[in-house]
Amino acid sequence: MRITPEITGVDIVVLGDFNPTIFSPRWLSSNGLIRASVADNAQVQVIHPEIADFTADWLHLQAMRDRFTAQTRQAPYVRLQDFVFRLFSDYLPHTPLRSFGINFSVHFLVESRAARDRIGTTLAPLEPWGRWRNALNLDNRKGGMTRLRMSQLAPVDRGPGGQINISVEPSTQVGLGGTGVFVSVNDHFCGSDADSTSVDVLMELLRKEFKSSQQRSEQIVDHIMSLAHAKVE
Amino acid sequence: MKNLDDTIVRSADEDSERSSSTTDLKSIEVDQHRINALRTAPLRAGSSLVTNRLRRHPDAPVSATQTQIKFKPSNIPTYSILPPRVSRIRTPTLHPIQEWEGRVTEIRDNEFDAILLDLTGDVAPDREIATILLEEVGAEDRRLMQIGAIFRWVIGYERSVGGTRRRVSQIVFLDPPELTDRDLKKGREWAAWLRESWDVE
Repeated sequence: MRITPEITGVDIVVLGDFNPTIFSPRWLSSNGLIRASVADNAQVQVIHPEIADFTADWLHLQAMRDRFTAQTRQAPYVRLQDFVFRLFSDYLPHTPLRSFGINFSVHFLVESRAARDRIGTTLAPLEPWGRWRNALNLDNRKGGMTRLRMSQLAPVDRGPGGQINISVEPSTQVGLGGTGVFVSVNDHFCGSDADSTSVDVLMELLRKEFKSSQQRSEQIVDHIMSLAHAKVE
Repeated sequence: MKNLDDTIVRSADEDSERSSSTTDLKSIEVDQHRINALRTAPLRAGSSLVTNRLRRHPDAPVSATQTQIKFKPSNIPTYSILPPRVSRIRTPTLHPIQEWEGRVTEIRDNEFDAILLDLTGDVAPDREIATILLEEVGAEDRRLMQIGAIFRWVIGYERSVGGTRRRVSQIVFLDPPELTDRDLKKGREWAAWLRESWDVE
């Protein structure tokens, strides 16, 4: 990527039917999924029949009855893929899973407000807004693009329900003076049915697609970064 | 009644939109008031935030792993205790500038040799041979070190919770998968298939 990001993160979100109470640091370490020292120092927010949520060193895990999220903000990201793959393939193989998403998110800084506005006005030009665009008055910070999402439905390389969704918006974590940009890429994969074999199908898909998903996401983010220097007509 | 309904839908959409962009943690940051409002709101029979959304965009289904529209009104009464509000713990981040996959080939007293595969960039990775000081490896990871062990070596920027950035080098040995009952079962099935295919007794 042409601009070194301030924060990069990868999430793997799995949809299915889960029992949140089992997702405790102790259970994960007793099965060799995370190290004992990592589990010992985990910061548990809540372990409850409806929700489990904790942070253990590089891993943040959240499980709800219908949704499981594993997240990291620390490279190497392949740890996250290994963790989710082994968790479901080796220890929870009969969990009914419906779909999963690989989410790649980046916060980066541009050199000035004007550069950030170039990204905004390139992606969402002001001209089509008619007279109202004058009221937006970008130079005096009255408005502009706050969020834009583009979706690719049913990409050719995956089954029904697959999507790639990109969001671009001002960052709320870096460059709060108006120079931070946040881009997230959601790469969504669907299985056929949430049955006893869905883990095999979806986790194999996860292993196969993780690297290419990350590469594709980085290319998309890199292109968004390039817009900071784009010419605005 | 309609206004309340609309407000709930819109609020949930806003949450979903927001959550999709980062970590999906907004799903559990739906506050108590909103959940209570959803519980008591006289929503239409069979309606849900999901269907409301899909009705507006019939050709653009929402990626469920991206959005947070799981608080269907019909599900709300099943909560015996409402999920507590959880805020996210902030941790340091590490963005990779360069990353290698390595395999240990020789271990000596103070250093080890490894074959490295550069994973950075789009070009096909080159193999390199490197000698790395043992002090580069943390104590926990050293226990996993043996000939043939696979590791990742990341050079990148670590950003503290306070925003301070520094360049770091980190070697992480990947935990070898343990042999599970499922693996054994798969192995036995494979062996049985081989015996049958080759007609071996």
